Amino acid sequence: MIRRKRYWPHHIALAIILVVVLFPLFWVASTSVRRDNAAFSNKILGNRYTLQNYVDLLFPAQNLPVVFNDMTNILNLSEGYAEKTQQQLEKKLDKDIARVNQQLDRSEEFFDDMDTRIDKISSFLEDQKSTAMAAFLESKPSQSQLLLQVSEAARQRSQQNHSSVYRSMLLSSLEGGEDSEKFLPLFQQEFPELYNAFTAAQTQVQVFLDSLDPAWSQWETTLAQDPEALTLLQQARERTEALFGQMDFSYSRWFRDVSVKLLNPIGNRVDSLFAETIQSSWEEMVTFCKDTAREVESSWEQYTSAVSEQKQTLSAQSQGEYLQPIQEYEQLQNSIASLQNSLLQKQLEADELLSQQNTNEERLVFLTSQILSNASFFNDTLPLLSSIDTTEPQPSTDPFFAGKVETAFSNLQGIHDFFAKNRGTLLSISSAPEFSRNMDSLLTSLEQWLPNKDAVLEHGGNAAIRDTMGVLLATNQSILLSLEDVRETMAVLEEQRAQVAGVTQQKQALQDQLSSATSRLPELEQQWVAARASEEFASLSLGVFLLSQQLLEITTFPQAASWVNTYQDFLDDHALRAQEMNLSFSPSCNDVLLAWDLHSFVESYTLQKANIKERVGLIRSKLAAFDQRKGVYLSLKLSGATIQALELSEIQDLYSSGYESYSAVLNRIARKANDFSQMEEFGSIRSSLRFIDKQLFYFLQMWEKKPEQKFLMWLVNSVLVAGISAAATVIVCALGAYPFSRMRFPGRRNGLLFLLLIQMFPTVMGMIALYTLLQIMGKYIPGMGLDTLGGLIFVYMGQVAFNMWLLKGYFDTIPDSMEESAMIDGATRFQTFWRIVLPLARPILAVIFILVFFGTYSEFVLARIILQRPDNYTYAVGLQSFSNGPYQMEWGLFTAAALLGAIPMLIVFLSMQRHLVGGLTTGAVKG
Amino acid sequence: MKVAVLSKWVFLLVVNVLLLAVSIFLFSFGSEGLAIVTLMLLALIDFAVINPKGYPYRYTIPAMFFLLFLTVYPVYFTIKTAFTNYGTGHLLSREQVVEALLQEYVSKPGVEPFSYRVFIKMEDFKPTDKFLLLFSRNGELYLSSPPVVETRDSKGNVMRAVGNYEKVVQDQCILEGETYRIIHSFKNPEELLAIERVRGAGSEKFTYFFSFDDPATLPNQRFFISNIYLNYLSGAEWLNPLLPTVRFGSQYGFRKIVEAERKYRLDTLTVPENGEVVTKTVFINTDTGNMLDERDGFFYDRDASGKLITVAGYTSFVGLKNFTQMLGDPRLSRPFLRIFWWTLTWATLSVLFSFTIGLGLALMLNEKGLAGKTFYRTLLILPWAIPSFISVLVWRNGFFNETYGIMNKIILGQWFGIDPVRWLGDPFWAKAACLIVNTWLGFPYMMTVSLGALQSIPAELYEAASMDGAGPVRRFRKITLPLLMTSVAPLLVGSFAFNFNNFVGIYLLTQGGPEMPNSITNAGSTDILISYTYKLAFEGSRGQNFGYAAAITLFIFLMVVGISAINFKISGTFEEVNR
Repeated sequence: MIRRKRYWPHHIALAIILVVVLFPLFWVASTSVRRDNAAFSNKILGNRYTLQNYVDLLFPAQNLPVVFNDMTNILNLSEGYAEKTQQQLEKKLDKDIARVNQQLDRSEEFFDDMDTRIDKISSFLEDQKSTAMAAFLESKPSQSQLLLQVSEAARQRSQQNHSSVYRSMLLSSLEGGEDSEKFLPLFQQEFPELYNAFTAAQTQVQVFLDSLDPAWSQWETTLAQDPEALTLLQQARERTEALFGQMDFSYSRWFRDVSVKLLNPIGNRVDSLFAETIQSSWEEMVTFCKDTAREVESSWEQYTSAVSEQKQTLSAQSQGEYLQPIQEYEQLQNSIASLQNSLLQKQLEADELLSQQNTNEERLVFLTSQILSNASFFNDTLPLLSSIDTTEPQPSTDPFFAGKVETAFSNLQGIHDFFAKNRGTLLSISSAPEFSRNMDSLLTSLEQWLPNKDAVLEHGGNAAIRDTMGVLLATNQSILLSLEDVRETMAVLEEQRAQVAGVTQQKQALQDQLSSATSRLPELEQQWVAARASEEFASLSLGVFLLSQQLLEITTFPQAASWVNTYQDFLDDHALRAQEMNLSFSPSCNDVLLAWDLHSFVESYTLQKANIKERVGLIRSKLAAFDQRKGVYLSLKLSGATIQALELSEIQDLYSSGYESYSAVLNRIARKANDFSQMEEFGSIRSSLRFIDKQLFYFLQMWEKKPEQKFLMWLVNSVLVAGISAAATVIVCALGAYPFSRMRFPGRRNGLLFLLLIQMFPTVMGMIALYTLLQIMGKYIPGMGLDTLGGLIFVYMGQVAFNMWLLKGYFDTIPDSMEESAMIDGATRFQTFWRIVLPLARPILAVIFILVFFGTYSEFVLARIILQRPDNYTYAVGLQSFSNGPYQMEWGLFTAAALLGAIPMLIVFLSMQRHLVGGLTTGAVKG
Repeated sequence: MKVAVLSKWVFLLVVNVLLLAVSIFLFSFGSEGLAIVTLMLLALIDFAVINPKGYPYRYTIPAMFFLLFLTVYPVYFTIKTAFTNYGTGHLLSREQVVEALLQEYVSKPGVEPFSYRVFIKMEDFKPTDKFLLLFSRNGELYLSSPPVVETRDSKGNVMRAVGNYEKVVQDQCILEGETYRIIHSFKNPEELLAIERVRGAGSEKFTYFFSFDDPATLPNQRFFISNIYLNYLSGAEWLNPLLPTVRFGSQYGFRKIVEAERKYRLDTLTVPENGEVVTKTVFINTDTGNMLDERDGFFYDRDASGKLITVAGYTSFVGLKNFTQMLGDPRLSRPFLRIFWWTLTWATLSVLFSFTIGLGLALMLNEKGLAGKTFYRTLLILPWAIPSFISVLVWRNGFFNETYGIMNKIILGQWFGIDPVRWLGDPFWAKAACLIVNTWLGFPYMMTVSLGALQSIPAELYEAASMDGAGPVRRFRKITLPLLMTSVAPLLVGSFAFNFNNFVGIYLLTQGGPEMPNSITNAGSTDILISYTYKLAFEGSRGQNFGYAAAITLFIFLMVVGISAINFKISGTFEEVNR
């Protein structure tokens, strides 16, 4: 049964693989048309599109900075303008000036166009404002109710554990500042006595003020004749009333502000204008005022002293309640950190000491091993000693023999005693079995040796004994020295051990301290957390209360907007606690905020527009002035003087300072417009917003300094170089491969092998050789040296070896019967090549052309070294400048350049791929 | 017929003369390599034209021309450099260093410089370039002749020029056999108007033209600098048997003339060396009288405390030192061996990954009933079609950039919520990135090749196998894979060789990658041998070492020859040669 095979899994797998594989290409295409800078945005696809990147690459615009630069170059006679005449230069300047004017006109047009849209947005805004305001005012009572509730709840939370926090905060908020009055209801609640004292003081002051009233009015009528004095008097009255009402009233201040500044001048005028009786009653008036002021001061002082008393009690309370735990906690944390630090230090110390100890122990083992290695000597000579007893005594002829023997034996005894005594210690250092074995064998051999002193003395003349003694005496010295060393090392080791023990002890002590401190931490932390929480709740409560009071006074939109902003900031600052209390923004607040956003958007637009128009006007006027003087400047410059065109540098300054300041702002406005256009609430003005976004972009493009690039030139260079070298390579290789395929001649086989080998040599180092070659060539053949395209083409011709192999393989498949018959008919060899073989080999020639074209198009290493001026770059080298250096993050430009360079190759490749693969496999490899 | 023969001999003559002249010139220039290559070309052309058996070679002449100059000469150069210490500190040949040392001047401290005045002969009220210089110091005047140019450098600027100068006594001076008289202004005797050269009956007048100290002559400065100073004076020195040598020094430039003398002079010394008596030329520091030590390609001097200071280095032949260092010196061999190991791993893994993916896709696309095969194939070939340097740059900047790259920001960050990976900063991830990119670039080629090879396997084999009860995996392992390997194996080995030297894939992506710690050369963790060589030669931030780089190049060559030999054995290319 034939079952139809299901291909669904294949299709799915292929689709997934396609998406993954082609994603980079898709990304390149989508990034190249984005208006914002893809590197700094968080979205993988933008939503604002433009073809500006491609335009910039292919048709670099002569926008304002370029023209300004050009004008500066003309005036400085740089960059090719040095050889022109004055007339030509003036004509060029005229053209530039016209262009600048044209672009300035266009800039202003842009803004005029945007203005119509802005008007639409403004009317929309008015509607928004009124609706938002209405909703807001409606919700005012419920909102304030909610706020009051939250405030009360927070206050309770705060006072739950630490009652003093809230109270001291409240007290400090009452001291001056415009909002302090709003806290009065709370004041009454928390500090009833103080509140009463306050109201009492207030009433007293009011009484005093009232008592002054009749006096004021009387004097107002009296002084009515003199308007100056009258104004002064009225000012004095206002000021006095204002000052009296403040709780931090001080007499000296009143004295300075009112008495000296206002009452005294009145007194002077009275003295000069009025009769004596009036003068004296004025004196009375002044005294009356002063007295009253003093009374007021004392009233207030009573109150303020009560307040400071309360504050003191409160601060003592809060110190005990919550400030202290906070301090203790922080101190504990600090001490823990420092303990940890010292512990680390101690550890490092201990490690250091241990490593030293290890080194010394190794040294000790090494030294003792030296000594122990002599054990074999004793073992070997032992039988000699035992055999001596049986022979005749033979004293030595050496007078010093006895002495030497004595010394030697006593030394040996010393060694034996040393090892016997310190056996335990040494074994504790090195537990290697050979070590203890050696030591034990040394000890035993010594023990057997030592009693033979007399025998040795007796048989000193024996040759064997004499030689043995000689060897012993010789090695004795070195053993003794080593022993000294060993003793010293052991002493040092002892010391070190003591040190290590000491350090370990210290470490332990620190460790104990640390653990005790850490154990105290959780408890203190708890207290700290609770104290902090009370603080935060208190501040939340007071803040919310203030907001609720402020809310009640709101009537207009600006007030509402600023209140909502403050509210939002407050919520951000107290985010955690507000969330706990379920405090959040209400919808009407959101509407107000949105309307405010739009409002500030329109405002900043208007401001920037004014700035820009002003700047454009300035530039225009400077330009006109420059226009008039340009002839003079040019002639001066051409005659050799160094001059600076003042207007031009001013224009440059205006441009750069202006562009800096408003490019960022305009970009922000454009982004904001884009964000707004995506919001549902602004659906009706969406098109206007989008229009503004686009217009601002194009406006900025006219003013923006673009990166320098000569993209088109690079592309043309690349195509030229690749094309010429490909064509030349094809011809040269065809010519060169023909004899290898068709003829047999001496050196053919070796030549083929040589071609094979030489193409494998890496050309990295060869570049230095080629560089020198081009240097020499460039001096004698113009156009073919360094930094020229001709030289580059010459160097790229080095690919002949590989292509000759391909061609030879292909030629081999063409039967030579045709050529033979042609030659019989009288054609020369060359004619058969030219007329028969080459046309038949067209496919492979095409393949080689494409391969070489591709290869040289992508080659950048050699090109980078040889080409130096940006005018001469090929596309491959030029693309590097988009990916390194200052334009590294200009992804739009980079991806657009990548696409533009890749697309031609892509098209050619895709249409030729069949030939390519066929050519590669038939020509090169037979298998 | 006769015309043809005649023209052939004329052509031969012309070519011989031309190429011989060129090679002689190259020899004199110092480039023996190029000269030898030119002579080889000449020999080939002669053989091709004269000897009838050399007829085939006529076709190969253009190819040989390019081959010899652009391939053989660099090979020779590389081999030669591998045995020298050419590099930073040893960039010039010994002759060039000697010449440079002889050009170093010290101006005596505390000696006052000379001011000078330029007098020019005017023609038609325009200045010419015939001039005289008048030096003055402390009221003494000296007249100098235009210096004679001795050497120019490659751009034509004056390197050395020598002239004479004599003291002026009572407004008269005899210089080089000619008498000169100074003419003062009558109104103001301090002012010098002109100098007159008395010659028999006639006299030539040189008018006062320019002096740096005289602001009134400022407009003439431009002419003086561009026409006279740069053409005649910049490297000039004036001699006088009784007075010190003077020249334009570097301290004052063209503003003043200073007394100067050469810092080093040559001297001959007869010393016993290795049992013989040898006469050598040595450098003596004229100031201190020290003899410069010459060792290991460096010239050393001693300073006041007796310490050695390096003066200059030149390229010298060092034998096999580069090669022994490559494997022997641990500071160099450790990075070298690690790079070599990574090169092998990189090439193997690249081939493995791309072949696996390519083969998998080819198997999928080879199914007879699958619709849209061309569509899939065309789309899947795209990564191969785009020039690789573009793709690599896109991957590097847009994808693997650690802060802004799409991989870290969006794919890992937003879609999967993984912490950003230090792609190009961490050695392991850099290697991973290189492999990812190279697989992406390489699998289309493998896919195409596998598709072609799969299509050549006859379908009857599969049918017979499935009739015999073989499952798909068995069929793949026993039929597909072996038959595939016979045709694809050479390409795999070729791809291995290509990736072994795949400079673009590594260098553009990571520039060799995060630097290996503790390496005196700037070796990186993703460097392959060829990019390491490139960096040694061209990016030596710690000094360029061409000699060592050339040694590594030779090593690479041997490796590639080995690999290719295996390949050709497999594919039977050697038989081609014998056919």
